[in-house]
Amino acid sequence: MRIFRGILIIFVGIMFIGSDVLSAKKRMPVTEISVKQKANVVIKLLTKSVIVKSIKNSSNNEAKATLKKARSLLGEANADLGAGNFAKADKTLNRSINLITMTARQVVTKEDRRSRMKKRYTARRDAVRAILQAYDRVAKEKGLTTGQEIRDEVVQNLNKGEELFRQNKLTEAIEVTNGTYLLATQITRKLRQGDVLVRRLSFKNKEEEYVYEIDRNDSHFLFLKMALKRKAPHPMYLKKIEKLRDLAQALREDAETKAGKNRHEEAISVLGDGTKHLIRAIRMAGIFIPG
Amino acid sequence: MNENPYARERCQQGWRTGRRLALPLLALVISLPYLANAFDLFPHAVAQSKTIKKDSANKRRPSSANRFNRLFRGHANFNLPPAKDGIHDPIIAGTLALQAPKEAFAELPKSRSGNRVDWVKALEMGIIEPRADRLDAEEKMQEFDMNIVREVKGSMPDVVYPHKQHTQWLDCRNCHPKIFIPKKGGNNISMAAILMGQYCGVCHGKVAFPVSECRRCHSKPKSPKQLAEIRKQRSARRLSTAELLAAPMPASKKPTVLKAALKAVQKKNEPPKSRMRQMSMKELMAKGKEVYDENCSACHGEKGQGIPKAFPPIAGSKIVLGPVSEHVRIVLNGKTDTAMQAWKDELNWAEIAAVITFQRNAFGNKKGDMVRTAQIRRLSR
Repeated sequence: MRIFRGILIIFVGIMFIGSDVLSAKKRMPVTEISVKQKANVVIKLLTKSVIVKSIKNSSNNEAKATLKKARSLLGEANADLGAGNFAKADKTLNRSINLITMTARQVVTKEDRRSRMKKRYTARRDAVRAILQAYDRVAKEKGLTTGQEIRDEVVQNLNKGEELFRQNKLTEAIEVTNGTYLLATQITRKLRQGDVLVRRLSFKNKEEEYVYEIDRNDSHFLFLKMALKRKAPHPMYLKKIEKLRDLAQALREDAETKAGKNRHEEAISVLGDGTKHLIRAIRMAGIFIPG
Repeated sequence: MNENPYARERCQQGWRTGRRLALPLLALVISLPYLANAFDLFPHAVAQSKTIKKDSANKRRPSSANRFNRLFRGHANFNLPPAKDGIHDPIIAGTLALQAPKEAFAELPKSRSGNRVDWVKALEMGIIEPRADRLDAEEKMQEFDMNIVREVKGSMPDVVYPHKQHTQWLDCRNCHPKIFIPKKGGNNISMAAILMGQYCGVCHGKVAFPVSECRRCHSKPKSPKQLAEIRKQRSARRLSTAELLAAPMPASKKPTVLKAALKAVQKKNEPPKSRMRQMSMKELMAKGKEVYDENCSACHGEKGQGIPKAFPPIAGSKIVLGPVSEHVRIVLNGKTDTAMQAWKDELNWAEIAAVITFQRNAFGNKKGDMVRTAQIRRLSR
C-alpha cells in the first residue's frame, strides 16, 4: 500500500512537470516547415552574421574550430531534414546555435572591451559633471552655506577617476566614477527635493516670439498629419479638414512674407489664426486638444 | 445483539486504507486538467473553456457607443497577437509561441493609449516589481520629487513634468545630459521637436505613452486671470486682422485660398446692418443648419447625438433647452477646460443667431425660440 501510494505521488508529480514541458512543445511544434525556417536562420547565422565576421577576423583558433563544428552540425541537420527526421534535425540545429552563441562571447576582443568601457566611463563622467554644475547653480540660488565638504569630495573623486582613466585603468576609473555619480545625485536630489520650478514664457522681442509661433505652427501641422494617419477620419470630415489645412497653409505663407519684411507683430497674429484653424482640424480628425 | 468482530475489523481496515489513499487520489484529481491539456484528452471541454474565457473577455469590450467614438481606437486594433502585429514575421513558427500581449496585460491597470496599460499605476500598486539593477537584486531606484512647469502660449494648459514618476523607472544619467541639459533655458523644447523624436520624443511615442494624450502632460489649466488676458489679446488681434485687410494682397502660392480667408474675415467683422431684413423661422433654420453642418457637426454629430464621454449631444441638452442667454453665452465664449471653443471670433452675429435657433428647434428639441441678431449683439457685450 505504501509503495503504491508512493508510486502514485511520484507519477502525479512527474505529470505536473511533464505537462508544462509538453505544453511548451505544443506551442512550438516541430514540423517540416518550422525546422526548415530554423535551418534558414542558422545558415545566415553561420555565414553572414557579425559573429562569423568577428570570429574570422580574430586570432582565436578555438573559436574558429567551434565555428567549423557548428557548420558541420548544420550539414548534419540538413541531411536529417532531407531524410524527413525533423525532430533530430531540430535538436542538431539547436546544438549548432548554442555553440556559436557561446563562442561569440569569447571573441569579443580586448579592443572592443576597452572601447565599451571608455564609453561607459565618459558617459558617467559627463553625467556627474552636468549634475555637479546643476548643484552649484542651485546651491548659489538657495544661498546654501553647508555641504561644501561633500561637494569637494565629489570633485576630488571626479579628478581621481579622470587620472585613473588617463592611466588606462578603466575598471578602477568606472568604479570610482560610479561612486561619485551616486554621491552627486544624492546631494543634488536633497537640495531640490519637493521643489516646483516654473519656466515662464517670455520673449525678448517680437522676432523671438515669431520664432516660437512658427514652431507652434509647425507642431500643429505635424500633429494634423499624424492625426489623419492614425484616425483616418470619415471622408465628410476629411474635406473640411483639408479646407482648414489649406487655409492654415495660406496664412502661414502670408505670415512668412510679413516676417521677411520685419512686420513680426502682424506675422504673429496671422500665424495665431492659422494655428487656430489647425487646432480645429485636429479636433475634427478625432484628437482632442485641450484649451 | 451479537456483533461480528470480523466485520468491525474489516470496517476499520477499510477506513484506514481510504485515509491512506485520499491524498494521492486528491492529487490525481487536481492534475487531471493539466493532463487533459497536455495530451488533448478532452478537446471539446478545452475548447468550451476557451470559449467561456473569450466570452468573458468580450464582456470587457467597450460598448458600441464608445466604439463609435473617434477618439477611441477599437478593441480589435491594439495589442494584436504577434502574428498579426505587423512587427513579427507571421510565417515563423516561433512567432506563434510568443504570448499575446492582451493575455499578458489582462490583469494590469488599464490606460487609454499606447499599449493600454497604465504602467505607472502598475508600479505604484506593486503589481510589477522591475529590478533597479541587473546584477544587484537589493538595489532600489532613487526617486526624485521635483516638478517642472513650462508655460505655453494661448489657452492650452501648461505642461507639468514630474521627476517622480520618471525616476521610478529611470536613472538621472538616462536623460542628463544627453537628452536634457539640466539647466534652465538649456533646452529648446517644442512639440515639433518632440514629434520628430527629440527631447520627450526619445521615449514618448515609442516606449512610453504617445503625444496624442495631450492632457497627460498639459495638465495645469490657465488661471482665470491668464484666460482673461488671452481673450483681451485675441480681441486686439481682430484689429490687426483689419489692418491685414487694408494691406495689399501678398503674392501667395494659393491666392484663391487666401482670398477666401480674407473674405471670410471681412464678412465676420461686418457690423450688422440695422436695415437688414429679419429672417423668418424657415430662413433661420436653413441658415442655422448650414452653419451647424459646417462648424458644429464634427463634434456634436450630424444628428446632434454627440459622442459619449467626449462631446455632449445637442438633442435633449439641458443648455440648449434652457435659457437662451446661457446658450448664447456658451456659443459666444466657449466653455473653459472643455473642447467647446468660443465662436464669437469665427462666426458673425447673424450666423450665431441662426445656429442657436436651429439647435433649439432641431433634433427633437422643440423650444420654438427664434433668436435674433440683436440679442446676440446685446449678449456679446
